Formats: sequence, C-alpha cells, structure tokens
Amino acid sequence: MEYKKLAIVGELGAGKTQLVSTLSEISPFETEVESTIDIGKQFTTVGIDYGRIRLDEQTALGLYGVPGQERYSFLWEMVSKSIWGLVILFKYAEHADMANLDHLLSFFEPGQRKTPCVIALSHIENAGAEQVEDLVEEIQTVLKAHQLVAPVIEVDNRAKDSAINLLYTLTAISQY
Amino acid sequence: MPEHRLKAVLYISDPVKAKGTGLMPRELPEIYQKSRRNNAANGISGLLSFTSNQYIQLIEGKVKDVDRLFDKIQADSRHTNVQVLAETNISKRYLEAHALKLVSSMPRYPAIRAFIRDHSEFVVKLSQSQQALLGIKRPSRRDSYAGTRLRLERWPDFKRIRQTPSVIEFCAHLASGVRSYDDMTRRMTPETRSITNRLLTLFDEMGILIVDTLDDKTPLVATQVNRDGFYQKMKMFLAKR
Ligand SMILES: Nc1nc2c(ncn2[C@@H]2O[C@H](COP(=O)(O)OP(=O)(O)OP(=O)(O)O)[C@@H](O)[C@H]2O)c(=O)[nH]1
Ligand SMILES: Cc1cc2nc3c(=O)[nH]c(=O)nc-3n(C[C@H](O)[C@H](O)[C@H](O)COP(=O)(O)O)c2cc1C
Ligand SMILES: [Mg+2]
Repeated sequence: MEYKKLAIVGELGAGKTQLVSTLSEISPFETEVESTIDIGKQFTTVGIDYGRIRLDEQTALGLYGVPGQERYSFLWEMVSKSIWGLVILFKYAEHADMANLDHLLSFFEPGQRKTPCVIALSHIENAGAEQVEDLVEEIQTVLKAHQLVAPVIEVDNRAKDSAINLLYTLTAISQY
Repeated sequence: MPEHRLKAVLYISDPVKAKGTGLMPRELPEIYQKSRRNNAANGISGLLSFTSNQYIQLIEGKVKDVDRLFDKIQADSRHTNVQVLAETNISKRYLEAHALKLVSSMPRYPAIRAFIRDHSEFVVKLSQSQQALLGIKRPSRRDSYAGTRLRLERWPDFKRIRQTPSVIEFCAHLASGVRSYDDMTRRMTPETRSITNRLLTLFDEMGILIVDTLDDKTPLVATQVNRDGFYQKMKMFLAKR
C-alpha cells in the first residue's frame, strides 16, 4: 500500500472542510473508504478533516485539513510525515497573517524538502483587483524571504474544477 | 509656493532582529499597517519592500511632510543602519494615491524604474548588491531568448494569464531551476516554440523572468524529473476528471 498525504492548512473558516469534502467526492471509490467524519462545528477548530482519494487498489492520497493557527502546530506534526503536497489556504481579508505564514513555512519547509506547495486564496469573489494584488504582495514577500517560488492561486473550494486545478498544479510541481 | 515643493527619499536599512520562529521581521505587519493609515492621512505615498533581509523604502510627498516622517523613521529602533540612497526634490509624484504599498520586489514597479531613470546620478554610488535590489543591472526585455538561461523568480499573477494545463506545466518547469532556452526549445515544433516565446515575453513584461546570458557563470541546476509511480497515478486520476 502506497499512501501519501496532502496537508491542507488554513485559518478559521478558510474552507479546509469544504475542500477536503469536494476532493473526496471526486474520488470514484469514495463509498469504499471511510467517509469523512461529520464533526460538529465546535470541533472543527480543534480537529483534523480527513478524506481520501484512492488512486488504485494499492495507492491513495490522504487529505488532511489542519488548522493553521500556531497553537495547533502539534497537529502539523502528524501530517508532515510522508507528506506529498502542501496547500496553504487563505480566506480573503484586508491583510494576510504574514507572521503565521512565515511560521508555517518554517515548520513545513516546502522549499528545502521539495514538497510541492500551493498558496490558495478563497472567498475573493467580492474583493477588488487592487485589494487582491496587495494581499498577494504580502504573501509573495513572505515566500521570497523563504526563497520559495510557489504559485498563489484563486480557489473556490466548493467547485470541483477548482479543486482539481489545485491538484493538477501540485502534480505538475511534483515532477521536479 | 515653497510648501508645495515635493521631495522623495529612497533608503535601505536592516531590520532589528526580534527573535521569532520564522525568517520575517516580526514587526513588519505592524509597521506596514500603521504606515498605510498614517501616510494616507499625511499625504505621503510610499513603496516598502523586504528583500534579502533588508528594508528598502521610497517615500514622497511635500518637503516638510517627508522630512518630518523621515526623521521619525531614522529614529525608529525597529531597524538600524539606515542608508540614504537618494534624497531629492521631485517635480511630480512617481507613485499613485497609494498610501503605502508593500511590494515583494522593487524592480517590478514601473514607478521605481521611472524614479531611477530620472535621478540616475545616485546610481554610480551604489554597491553591486544595492543595484541588484533595485534591479538596475536587470537586462531589459529582448526579442530573442536564444543563448540565454531562464528562471521564474515567482509564479505569474493568474489574473493576468489563464491557468491552462500547459501554462501550469511550463511555470512548474521554469520555477524549479535555471533552464537553457536552447535545450528547452530544441525539439519543439515551430508552433510550440512561438507559444513559448510569447509566454516568455509576457513573463518578462511582468518582471518575473530572470534572464542570464550563457556566458554568465550561474551553473545550470540539473533538475531530474521525478515521474515516479505515484506521479503517474495522479496523472491518470486527473485525466479522468
Ligand atoms: N465563497 C466561498 N465560500 C467558501 C469557500 N470554501 C468554503 N466556503 C464556505 O465558507 C465556510 C467555511 O468553510 P469551512 O470549510 O467550514 O472552513 P474551515 O477552514 O473548515 O473552517 P474551521 O474548521 O472552522 O477552521 C462554509 O460556509 C463554506 O461553505 C470558497 O472557496 N469560497
Ligand atoms: C522600515 C520602516 C518604514 C517605515 N515607514 C513608515 C511610513 O511610510 N509611514 C509612517 O507613518 N511610518 C513609517 N514607519 C514608522 C515610523 O518610524 C514611526 O514609528 C511612525 O511614523 C510613528 O507614527 P505615530 O507618530 O503615528 O505614532 C516606518 C518604520 C520602519 C522601521
Ligand atoms: Mg473545518
């Protein structure tokens, strides 16, 4: 059995649960795997969302939605083993939490460990182009300090094609 | 009217390391957010960047406003070693209404290029690394990439280019190491090559493409392609969607 992990790390309400469930739904073997545990809202911030994409009989990609706040970093430990990819989810806000992104990148070190990494911005449909641009510059400033060249893309966690595009991007990066 | 005279100050400084877990100065978000509000209220426009462990800032506005602000900035204990690169009167503002824009790379901004072009006398006094921070040595856009080495400094802004599978593949390739244009395009059909050239020109215009000539000593990073079983299975899974 080959099993790898996709860590989806993001702040409160960024859409981790949504993305894990959208991706799990796409997997044709969904009925055969343990279904996503339906945890009540009060647990979402302390728990891990779990889903799985079965690639064939022997191979699966585990999906782990993990809270991004520093105080949950003990949860990051468990997904960092045999990690295949890292998605850092941001919910649109006037400012990105640069210190937290800095901390996350220092923990996961996707550049040094060659873990494919994508920064995904959600909830930006109502933001102006200039506001999004400013937010992207904040994020890029942190990426640059980590010498990480990673895509910053828009995502709609509710939409299958958007979730697939994210996986496609990670897969493309994973070749190198 | 002397009170309407404008000036600009361009300086670099070193953040004072507040010990944190990451690589960023802890105070940057606070400085940025506060300054954005302050500058909007005080008629100052500015660009701020944190690159290669240094702050670079351009501020402009009315002489007395800029002087007052720069006095405060110089006295600020959150950074040290403030070095003025240029301090000069200007006849027009280079930056738009922005109160303060944080930028991940100075050279990408047309305003800074225009400022340097108009006040190039200070450039000769700059060290190599200072020139690099400001992108002064950066070669300008070219008609042909033949004989060059290429690398993406950052992924493109996907508001400006469609995220098609081939664009994603191309970016992943160019972002992962220094590539020789000649090797990359040798086996391409004329059509693919012309698409490649158009993409490169676009990336160049966005200021995210690093172009070196082959006689530069930058070693080519031999990046192996790792299309292992897991990769193949992901590709098969994605192909079915
Ligand atoms: N517009 C928009 N809404 C989204 C997106 N992703 C999730 N949502 C909605 O945002 C809300 C929060 O999404 P969740 O998936 O619960 O977020 P979470 O990251 O799991 O939140 P916590 O577990 O509380 O940390 C839900 O109402 C989702 O339907 C998105 O990409 N765009
Ligand atoms: C690198 C750096 C850049 C700064 N840029 C600005 C700026 O553009 N505008 C500003 O008001 N303060 C800026 N500051 C902060 C000032 O030093 C000072 O703390 C601030 O203006 C005080 O504001 P106050 O008088 O409203 O308290 C900067 C500080 C640093 C370290
Ligand atoms: Mg959740």
